[in-house]
Amino acid sequence: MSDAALSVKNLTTSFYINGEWHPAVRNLSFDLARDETLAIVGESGSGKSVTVMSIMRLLAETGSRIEGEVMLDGNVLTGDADEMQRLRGDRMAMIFQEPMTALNPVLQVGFQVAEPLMQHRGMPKAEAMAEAVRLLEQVGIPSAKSRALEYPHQFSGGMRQRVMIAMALACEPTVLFADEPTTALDVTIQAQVLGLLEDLRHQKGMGLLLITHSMGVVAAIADRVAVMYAGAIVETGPVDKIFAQPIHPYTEGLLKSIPRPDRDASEIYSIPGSVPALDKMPKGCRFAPRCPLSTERCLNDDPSLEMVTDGHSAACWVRAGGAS
Amino acid sequence: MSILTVTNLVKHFHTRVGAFGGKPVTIRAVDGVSFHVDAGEAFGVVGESGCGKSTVGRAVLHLIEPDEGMIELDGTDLADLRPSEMRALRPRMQMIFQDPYSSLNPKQTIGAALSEPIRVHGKASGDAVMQKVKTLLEEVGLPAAAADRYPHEFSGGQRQRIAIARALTLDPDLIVADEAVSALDVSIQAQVLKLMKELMERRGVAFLFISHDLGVVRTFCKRLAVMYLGRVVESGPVGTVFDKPLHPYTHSLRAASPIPDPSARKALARLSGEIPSAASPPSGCHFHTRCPYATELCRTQTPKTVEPVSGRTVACHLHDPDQTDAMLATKQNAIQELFFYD
Repeated sequence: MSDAALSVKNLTTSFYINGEWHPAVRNLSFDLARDETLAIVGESGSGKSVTVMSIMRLLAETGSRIEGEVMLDGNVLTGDADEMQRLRGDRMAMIFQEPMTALNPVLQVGFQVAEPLMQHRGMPKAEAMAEAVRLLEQVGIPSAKSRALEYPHQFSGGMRQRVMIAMALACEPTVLFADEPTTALDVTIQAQVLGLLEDLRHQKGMGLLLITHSMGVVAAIADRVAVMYAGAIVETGPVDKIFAQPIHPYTEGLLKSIPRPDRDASEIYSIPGSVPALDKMPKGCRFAPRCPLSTERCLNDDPSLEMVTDGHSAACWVRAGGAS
Repeated sequence: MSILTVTNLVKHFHTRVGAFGGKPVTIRAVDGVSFHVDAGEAFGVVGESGCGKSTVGRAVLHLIEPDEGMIELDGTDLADLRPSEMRALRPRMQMIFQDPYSSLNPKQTIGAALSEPIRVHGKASGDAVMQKVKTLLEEVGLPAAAADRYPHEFSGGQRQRIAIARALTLDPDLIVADEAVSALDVSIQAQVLKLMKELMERRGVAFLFISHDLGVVRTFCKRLAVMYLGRVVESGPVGTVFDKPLHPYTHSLRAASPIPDPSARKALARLSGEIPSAASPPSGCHFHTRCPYATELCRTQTPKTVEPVSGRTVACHLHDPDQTDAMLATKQNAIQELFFYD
């Protein structure tokens, strides 16, 4: 376990709503190896972004509570503010969906890429700026030297996302978190950015934790997948297994619902109902009210994640035993 | 029988860019677009941001005045109409937007939002109005009691159902749906698509379905037009266009669209470069700056739209019989990716 780049054990994040604590992420455990891409996939409200925000400690301290253990590079994180300040942008970095709001509009992009080097490595400004140009070249920004002196509004969406990636990679982090990094981009630009992320992950040997709602993006670059529903991982395994032999009825339904550009759909399949609100979670299996296979037991008891075949687990009473 | 015919539609926007008033710039949003939508059919318009697909949708509804070209709804040229005649025709075409939260008035109950068009256009009066509203809500899968509630009480998927119900209040022949399911989660998206397909079949309403998502278009539409920088580069039946693309741009778009199947994983297609600005589109074929097969001819001359087989059109010199000699060498390379009918 200690050779994992990132190891999360029993992570539970709760929010205080109307006088009660409600867990948005429940008992989440996973490992991420170096040079591996793990995709966390789920719909809105599944808790995928909260998971990453909890690991990075980016949630407001009032009204939220984080429990569990996070290990980075074999060291347990205490979650102490100074420690996190040292680690963020250095050993762990993050890129977001909307690069325009994540970049500072009044600073030159070169300076923004150089900043983590000055902050974490104590590099003098001139040296850091030269390094920033090299990083911008690496992420495929043409005429990087002159563009480093420009401002975010002078860049297109795809180019801004490249700047974000350059900034995140400046200190060669062990783990890169990418929260919907291509959702705001056009498909031809999305393909460029996904290709770039994959190349860089491999080159630098980092762990890439990709948060996405798109099964198409997952199929294109993930090695392993964790499917989240209503705050918990309901299925996890190697990418080919998840797509070819999904175990959990939610994964199966999700895969059947995806409109595909490569084949005609005889009829449109949809999962009935919607994800329950945080303060209105059903007891038992949280997917049971929408599940075609649900039994009496599913409505009363919550199944735990059980290994079905090598490295492929699911939390389902019907399909995976789910003895807790 | 076509319900909508668009011929050579042009819409340019004039604006200024830069400090102190700036210099005048013309954005050629739509630059000569033609297509038709059959009655009761779903016709897709796909393309990336800035290709002009939304402008086409708005011009069709005369929400913006087109500069040139003809838009005919069921044989009536919209440009000829007096304002009063235009108002009388409006109920026959309606629109659904991407974000149902900003298109619904937060201070208005759902019942009020749905009954307003019914009253204004005199489709019903008195108690019959609320009765019609309740029937419509049930038709889109919502409880009749939703009429007394406000938009914020509904989820995104439910709000989009409300927007659909509102578009149906006047029993239109054509609905322009601009990215109508793009903001929804996959499982909700499938529910809404299913609903729209049922409505299309039951009511015989036609859809001009604008989307960037090739999967959604393939699921919902029968035919489509692919746009790039203000022009239609290819059109035809959805399945054949995606499986046997004629235009290099369609091929790139299709190759870049993620397929939910890891066994089909290949090196991600990387169409080089970015979409040029519609303020200064490249000369000749707009796509030549990113096209792997571009020749000197493509850089200088705009390709004309040809119909190599009935029902399919393409605007590319590679498919133009008059340019066979000029494009011969390039065609040999293109044959692995593109489909040729001759």
